Amino acid sequence: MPYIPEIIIPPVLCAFILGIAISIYSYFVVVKRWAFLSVGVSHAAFGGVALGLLMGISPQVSSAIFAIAAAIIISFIKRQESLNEDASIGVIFSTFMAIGVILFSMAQEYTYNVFTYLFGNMLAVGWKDFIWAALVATVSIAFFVVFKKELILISIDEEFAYTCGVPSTALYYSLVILFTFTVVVSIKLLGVILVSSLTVIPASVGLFFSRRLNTILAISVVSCMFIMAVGLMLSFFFNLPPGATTAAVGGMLFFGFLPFKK
Amino acid sequence: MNEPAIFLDRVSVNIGSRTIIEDVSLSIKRGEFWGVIGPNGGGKTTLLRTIIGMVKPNNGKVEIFGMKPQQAVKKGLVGYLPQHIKGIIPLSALDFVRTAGNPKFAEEALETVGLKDKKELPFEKLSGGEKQRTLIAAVLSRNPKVLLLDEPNTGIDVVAQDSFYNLLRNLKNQGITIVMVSHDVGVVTQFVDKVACLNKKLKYSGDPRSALDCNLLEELYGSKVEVLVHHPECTGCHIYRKS
Repeated sequence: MPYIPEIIIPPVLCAFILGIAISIYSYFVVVKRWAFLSVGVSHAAFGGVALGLLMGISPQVSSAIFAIAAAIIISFIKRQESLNEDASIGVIFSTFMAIGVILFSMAQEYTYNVFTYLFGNMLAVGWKDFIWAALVATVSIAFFVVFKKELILISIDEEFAYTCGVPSTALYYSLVILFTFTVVVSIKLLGVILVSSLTVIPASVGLFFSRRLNTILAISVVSCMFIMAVGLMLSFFFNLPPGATTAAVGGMLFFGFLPFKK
Repeated sequence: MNEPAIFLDRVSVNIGSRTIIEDVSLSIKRGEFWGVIGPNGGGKTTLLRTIIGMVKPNNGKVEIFGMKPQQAVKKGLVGYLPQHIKGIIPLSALDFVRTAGNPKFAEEALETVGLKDKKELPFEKLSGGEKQRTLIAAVLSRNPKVLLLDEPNTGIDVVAQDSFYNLLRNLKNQGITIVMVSHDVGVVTQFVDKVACLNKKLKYSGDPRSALDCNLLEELYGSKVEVLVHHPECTGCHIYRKS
């Protein structure tokens, strides 16, 4: 049995358990065109992390508050016809990110923490983070299982879902909030800048090969597990930032399969 | 029981600072087949979205069988087909109808729209007309009393359109109230009982044959229009715009 350092067990378990949740959300990110939402909430969370460190409160909690505020504003704008969606979302996430940078510059642990949260840090992930990851992943999977039919209809068309008797607004925002929690919990491991890539790539690969939900989700989960496993392994053995390594592996997987798209 | 299927009383809708619909009143009786025509941006889609309760009017009221739209939707009385389904449908035709409609009547609904043989095919592999009929099947399986269709014939070839209109006629004969938005003035006026001409304001509502009037259509579309009426067995009529 090869020697496995105890310190990498929590991040590896976190990666796998979050990978399952992220690969399910990935389907909605791709078909609902939420890539911008994903980038927006992760950048907004950065502002929350900075505020938490500056005020001496849990960065997980403060980043969740910032990210959820951004997610709700972005989703609201996305659903309004009278607003310019791209410009509004761009302004929101750059503002939250700017707040984060300003606050980080005021904090004493500036350099170390900025890099941890921007690019992820395996060694900063402990058992407490694993508990958060397990909680978020369990709730996410349960939510998907219970509301699978309704969520499929929302992913198809919200207005159509509404007339099928689905409480589409409530479920839409529930999905956005749970997705945001998952992104926030993943930030310590994968980093603000690159976590969004993992919310896009798995389901995109699934959609290369199938138009059936169960097959898409199965390919998405396997892709996500593969990306996480290879990314973290390379990161650990070659002392590379985990977020960047994982995103690079994801990118290679995406472009590697692109020519075989059906 | 005598209230109209759909009732709009002086409804106005603004989106931002733009007025989309202004002071529209309509009373649609049970079992009637209505067509809504008008230029792009004339408020046709907004009218349907207001009827189903997705858009709240700034003024006026909307009722479906005497109820608020949201109540009628919750009771399953309303079936709605948007102009474009935005996402992909990652299911077979049958699974989609089971998911979106009433699973008990899914197979029967697919049979009604003539797609029983294709029920196991992935939805995304169906032709444009078959997709449209599958969507209708999903709506029908829920046994709605009102059917609202937004440009249902977009992207469907002539043969498929013909069978689609025959299907709508059958549904109308079963007592379902249908409101259909369309660009195709000639075809719509041939099939519907009544027509509403909408360009922000309601320009005309009533007998479709009277809607084929050059002056009315000129007012509706904002440019000179010539109406050419063909033999009724042929293609109804054509409308040409003159610049």
